Amino acid sequence: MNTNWGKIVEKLFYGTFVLLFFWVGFKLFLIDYIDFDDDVETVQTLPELRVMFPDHPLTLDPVSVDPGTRQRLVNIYEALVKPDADLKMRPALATNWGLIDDRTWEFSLRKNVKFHNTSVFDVMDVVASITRMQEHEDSELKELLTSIEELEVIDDYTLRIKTFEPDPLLLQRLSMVLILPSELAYLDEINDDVGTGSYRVVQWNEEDSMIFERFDDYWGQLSKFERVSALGRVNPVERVNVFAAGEADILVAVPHEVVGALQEKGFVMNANPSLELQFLLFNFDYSLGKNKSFRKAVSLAVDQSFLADGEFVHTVKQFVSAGVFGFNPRIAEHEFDLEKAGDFVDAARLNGRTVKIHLFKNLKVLGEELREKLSEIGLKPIISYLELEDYLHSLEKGKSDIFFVGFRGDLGDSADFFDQAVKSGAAQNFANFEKDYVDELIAEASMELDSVSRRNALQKVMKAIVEDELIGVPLFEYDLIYAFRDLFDAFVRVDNVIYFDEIKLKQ
Amino acid sequence: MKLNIRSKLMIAISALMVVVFSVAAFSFINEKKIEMAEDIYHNSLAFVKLTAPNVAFNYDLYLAENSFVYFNREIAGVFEQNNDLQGIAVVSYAGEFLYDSSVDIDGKYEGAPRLLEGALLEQVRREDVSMKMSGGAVLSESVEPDSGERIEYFVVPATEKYSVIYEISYDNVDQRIAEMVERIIYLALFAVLLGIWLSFVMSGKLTRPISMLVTAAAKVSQGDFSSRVVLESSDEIAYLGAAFNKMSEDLGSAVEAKIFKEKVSRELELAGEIQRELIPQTLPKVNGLELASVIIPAEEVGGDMYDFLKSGEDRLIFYLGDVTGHGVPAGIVSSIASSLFFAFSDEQDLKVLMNKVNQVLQVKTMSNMFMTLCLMSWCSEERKFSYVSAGHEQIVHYKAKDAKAGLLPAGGMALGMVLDISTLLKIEDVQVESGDVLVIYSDGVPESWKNEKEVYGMERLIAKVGELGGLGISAEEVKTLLLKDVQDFAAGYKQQDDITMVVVKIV
Repeated sequence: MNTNWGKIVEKLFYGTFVLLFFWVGFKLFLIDYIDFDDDVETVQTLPELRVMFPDHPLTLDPVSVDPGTRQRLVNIYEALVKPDADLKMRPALATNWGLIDDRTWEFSLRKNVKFHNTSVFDVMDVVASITRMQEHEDSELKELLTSIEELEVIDDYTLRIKTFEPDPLLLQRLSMVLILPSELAYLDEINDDVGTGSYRVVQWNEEDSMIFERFDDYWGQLSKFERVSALGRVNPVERVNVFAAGEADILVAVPHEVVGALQEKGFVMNANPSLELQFLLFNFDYSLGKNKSFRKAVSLAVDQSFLADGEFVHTVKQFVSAGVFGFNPRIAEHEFDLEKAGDFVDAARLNGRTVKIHLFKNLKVLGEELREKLSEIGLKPIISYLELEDYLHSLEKGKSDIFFVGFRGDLGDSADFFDQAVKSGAAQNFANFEKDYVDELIAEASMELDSVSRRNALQKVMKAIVEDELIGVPLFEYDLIYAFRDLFDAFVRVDNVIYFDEIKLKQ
Repeated sequence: MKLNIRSKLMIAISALMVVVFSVAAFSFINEKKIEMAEDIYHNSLAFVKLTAPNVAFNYDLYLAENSFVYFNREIAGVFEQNNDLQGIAVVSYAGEFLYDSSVDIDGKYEGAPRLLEGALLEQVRREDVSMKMSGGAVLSESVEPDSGERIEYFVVPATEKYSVIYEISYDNVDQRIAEMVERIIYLALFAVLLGIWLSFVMSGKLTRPISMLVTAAAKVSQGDFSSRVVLESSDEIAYLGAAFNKMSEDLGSAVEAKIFKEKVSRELELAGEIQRELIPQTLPKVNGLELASVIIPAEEVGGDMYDFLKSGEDRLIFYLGDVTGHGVPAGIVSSIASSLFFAFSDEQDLKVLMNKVNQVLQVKTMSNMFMTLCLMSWCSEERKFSYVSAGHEQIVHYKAKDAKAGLLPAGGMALGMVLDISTLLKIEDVQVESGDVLVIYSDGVPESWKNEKEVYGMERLIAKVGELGGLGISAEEVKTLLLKDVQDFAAGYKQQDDITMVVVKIV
């Protein structure tokens, strides 16, 4: 009996010794060569990522620059370069690039990349995609790409891009051009996702959600999440309720009123400057808009403070957010003076003039404030609250004296705003503003390679349109607030875009 | 607790491993710490001097104008280039913190001025790069820190307006050290386990043959000299095994030899007893004579012999012989001679008797075996003492009348050399008187060795016989005292030859 126990103990000892020996040897020599997926366990408990956005995508066609649409598209498509969290341009479908001369850029393209439809990526896809963005009827990127003069194919994976003038923002512009397979670029409309991105769309329920699945042939590191549900709720109450009910893991654009309540419930909150600025824009096509006294009177009559809460919403004095390159700190604070505003109305003999204001239907608070203040200075405001589609139509057709517009500086550079919304004839120049000297200043800024000179030029443009030309009345900017379930690293990017494969679970 | 060789070896090797690794690791880690701290110092110093002007420039270009997005991008680029950087601050010469990377994340700082004080302000206003050490000292870049001392931060005067403070982190160093320590611990553990395993295997190789040797030795101890060990190696253990096998074989042979020797000894003892039986057990009573005799063989069987052949109350024939050499051959020859003398004892003529014995011995014994012999006769009626010497030692004759000892004439040829020695033999008649002493002896007496150089010698013998003869003592006493003198002279030195004496005293 004793002998049997002795043998068992001996065998246990030898077994433990061998296990210990192999364990130590493994820790010492092999562990560095084995790729452990640290998140496997967590991913198994969270196979799907659910993100609640405050908007819906409009299309799968990358000609759109609508923020809600772009938010989805950047996870499906890729550009030549991709901005990192600090907006530094990193390789995406281009592996490296450089300037041959001041106007010629050469890009080396990534090999062994597949589109979701299994076609293989090469230089012709880039040429076709850039051309499509430049020429497509519905392209909202036309203005952005006007600096490109010529695309020259060197070989299957080398492309040279020549610009009319030196373009310091070319990389930023190209980061907006999402690449399609060349065989689809001729189509009028893209209804199916055919990008090279880390996710592909498997289901799209308009006004509700877009369901993504991980693209397993992706050239880069695969995302931790096999499936992503991008939910959309425009109604803030509905948005918060869905999130609070546990049907979403991340909530984008938390209404400011519920920040405290969500914090109390244990959600992790993160506030980030949205770089999105809201303002009123005058319509220079109409006589009222052309009248500088009218513009000055309206500006003096707007009380920014009633909109700002001092915590998440901040008053602004120009058309780009503080933080964006070209912001001009020397522009004076906005002045609110109803009496002086009335004087301008009187001097211009505008008493009783009807002022047509079209607003999106959710902006009744703003509308009523404008109605009150403009009435007080002797004007006769007529406020119309429109559905989004109607409002956009009104905006494009210039059917109102004053519009309410927002602009997000995704590139972190005010040239983006000037090119798209101020330059004469620009697609989003809803003010129909045209001034040669302003155009010249914008052109000067866009061509300048020296950073200081370019900053100075951009600041001059800003001063001109804010103080001299009063093309609109800057109102406020806000912090974009995110709420996370306590499973994630609460990481947000400067441009507030969510790349699903960048979301990290807590270790 | 008793430990076997294997356990001792395992413990010793494990202890050795632990000690060696501990000492080596301690020394290595200390050196590495110093080396890494020095690397950080040199790399960081070069890095901060290189990047400080750029940080100051970017501050002026971007953050001073509120463009924090691009500024953050540039600062992120700086952090990206140096993993040992923990923080960057821009301070004015006037003594104000303008930017602090640890807190100014979402925009330019807008609060109350953050003023520098004390030593830090002095550092900021220096014209050279200075560093604050962890010990509190502030050093100029021209002074290299003590070996291994850590730096808290560098202050680099970048422009006339700004200095840049770089906070240095040693987290990477500490982490690498911790990883190193962990690795060394695993390595030590691995070495200990490997050492245990190797010592287990090696000690098995060492103790297994030892166990085999122990088993074989036990068999040998039980008399099994056929026990052998088979060790298949070429080291000392194999030599030990071979030595054991040789020892076992030799031991077997030695024991056999011992047994044989014992058997021979017993036989020799028996032969000695037989020979002793041939020697007269009692001395004959002869008128006119006192007799005493002694024979002390050098070995069990001697080559000396004597005998008394009494042919009446008044006549006695006796002899004393000495065969060349001693031991068994000499004993056999002496026994033959004794038998021959006994057989021919009826012969009254000493020469004839001697020659008869000689003839037999010459024919029947080996050609190299000889025998000296003194054959004597006594006739009490005639008081006549005669002798025939066959090459024997001269008789010592003490003449009472002269109170002096001398040698009687020698003569003849040793028996067994030639077939007929009759012509060579001469009967000597000796005139004796009462009180005379005749000492007949073998060569063992005068040739009794005291050491390797000195023998008893004839002179001493003659003198002693003279001395003893003068004492008027009996033949027995003369024999005893003479023998004692010889033995005293030898003082225990090994007896080289048989000692035989016959003392005849004339009464």
